[in-house]
Amino acid sequence: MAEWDDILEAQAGDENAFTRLMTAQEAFIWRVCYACLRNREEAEDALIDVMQRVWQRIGIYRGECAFSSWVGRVARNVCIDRIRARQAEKRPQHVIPLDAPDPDTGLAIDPPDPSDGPEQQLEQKEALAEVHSAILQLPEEQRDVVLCYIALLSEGEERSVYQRMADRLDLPLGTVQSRLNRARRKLAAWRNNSAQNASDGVKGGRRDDM
Amino acid sequence: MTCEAYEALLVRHIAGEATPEEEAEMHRHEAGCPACAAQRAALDGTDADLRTLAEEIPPMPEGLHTRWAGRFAQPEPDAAADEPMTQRKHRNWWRGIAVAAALVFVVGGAIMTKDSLNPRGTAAVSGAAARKTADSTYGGVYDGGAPAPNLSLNSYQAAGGVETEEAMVYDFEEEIEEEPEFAPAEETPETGSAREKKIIRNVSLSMTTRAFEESLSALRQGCENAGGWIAQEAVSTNYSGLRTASLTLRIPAEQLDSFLSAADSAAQITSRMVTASDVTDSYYDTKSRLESERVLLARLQALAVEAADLSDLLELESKISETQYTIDRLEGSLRSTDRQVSDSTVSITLREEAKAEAVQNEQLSLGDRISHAFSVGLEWLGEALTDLCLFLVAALPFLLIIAVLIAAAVLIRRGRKRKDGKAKQ
Repeated sequence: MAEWDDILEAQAGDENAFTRLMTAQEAFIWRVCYACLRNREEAEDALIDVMQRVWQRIGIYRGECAFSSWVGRVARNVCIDRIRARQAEKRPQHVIPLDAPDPDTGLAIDPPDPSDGPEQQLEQKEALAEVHSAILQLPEEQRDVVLCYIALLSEGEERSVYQRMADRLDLPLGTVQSRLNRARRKLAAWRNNSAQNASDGVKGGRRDDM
Repeated sequence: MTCEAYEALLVRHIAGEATPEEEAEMHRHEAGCPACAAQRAALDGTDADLRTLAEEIPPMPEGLHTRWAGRFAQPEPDAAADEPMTQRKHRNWWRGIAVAAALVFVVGGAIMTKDSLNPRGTAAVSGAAARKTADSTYGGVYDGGAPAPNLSLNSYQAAGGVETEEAMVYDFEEEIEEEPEFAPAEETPETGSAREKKIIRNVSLSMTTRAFEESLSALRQGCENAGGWIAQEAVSTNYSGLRTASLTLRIPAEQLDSFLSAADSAAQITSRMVTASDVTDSYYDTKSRLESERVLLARLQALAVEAADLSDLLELESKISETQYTIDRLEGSLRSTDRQVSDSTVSITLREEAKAEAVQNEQLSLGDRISHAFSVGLEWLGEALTDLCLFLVAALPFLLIIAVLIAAAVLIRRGRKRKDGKAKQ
């Protein structure tokens, strides 16, 4: 396979081979970074970081798993490190204006679709932001699976998304499905709880009150 | 339907295993149970959110590719992609032959049992190749006092042959961050005489002293001055109050002589044994074996990527993990040897001698000995009397009680006698 040749050459220091190798991976890396960070600039910087890190560490890759899944792991680690770094810098805020960083993830989230009405925009943006930060708080295995699911869902390929996930995560198909289902149940339960809190009149969902 | 049953069905629904009848049942229950309906709504909402998150991902921005790829050289146009299909099939076919040839070499190397260390020997990549016990030359008997090293020199397995010109040797060591001792600077050709000698020196000392504390701290100081450290230290006291210290020190090999002269002045050395083992040959044997294993691993991994047959793949995988295990083992061996070469082990037993009291019986005259015995006897008597007094004092409470009881008994008896006496009158 041409990929293995490129890997060996890149390990030996051939930058051209490395560029060929990673050009094939860049689309997926972009989707994973955006799915994690939800901010265009951050995702761009993260992607460049991922490329650098893969270049630094490619010597360690020994073929124990598929190259694409190894790269996917590096990408996820880079994104999680970024999120943690942002969280460490965040300052507490009592009022959350529209373009302020999300207090849970410390990220400023992209503005929503301008074609919606302003109220809908706000609701939708907040709802998605909450779901996203809930995803980031899932246990590591489930979080990885969900982010991979989101990243792969937008690809337009014939193979089922579960099979593609199994390849990317280097896991058996059954494991992928069961982890994703557990994550969906958890997210649904969390969503149910926060909906109940809202309907019970408790000011849940407004993090500044916690 | 109960809510518990609904929950069970919801699990099946999430897994995509619910039958249409079960789906219908769920809908009926939801119609009447707001709590379960809310659960279902939450699940559907979650799925919709995941889809929205996926859809909002924009396409990769223009220029991002250039931003990262520009830091590396521009890729040449992929020549392989331009080849017409027939030529590519041709290349694959040749590659298949090369793979088969490599397999033949691997298997051939396994069958061969010649233990040739001559690099101009037969062309074979030795992996599961010939094994022989390396004959290492020991300079001396390994002292039993030294801690048992992890070095099982006799089990070193030398390579049966050496790589050919066809083998691609990848210098992985440059990329590995955690093995500085294998920096390329130390890489030497096996035939060259530029091989560093690998000698393990260990020392065992027995020492006595009258000034225990001073000697011990002098030894510690000497160790520190030599840039070494204490691996183990134990101090025990025997029944006569004399102490013994057992020290195991690791001293950098270059400083060993200066440490020994420092030790000489710290206490009296009653016995000393220095051993030197030359492990150069087996060390470099292991090193070249390690190289072969690494080449083999790369080969096997390449084959694994190409393998079409599942059983071939499984076999390759198991050989790959065997090889990786061997590599780890050999690397650990080499590291252990390096540590022992660079830091010698010094075992010291330091015994405290009693302070000099010259009681030399043979020199005394008879008269002196008699008076000495008499005074000893007096001492004993004094001690015995003291002990008796102490015993009496200790027993006093009991004696008092007994005395009281006896007195009471006597008085009662007297009282009875008088009564009897009066009654008789």
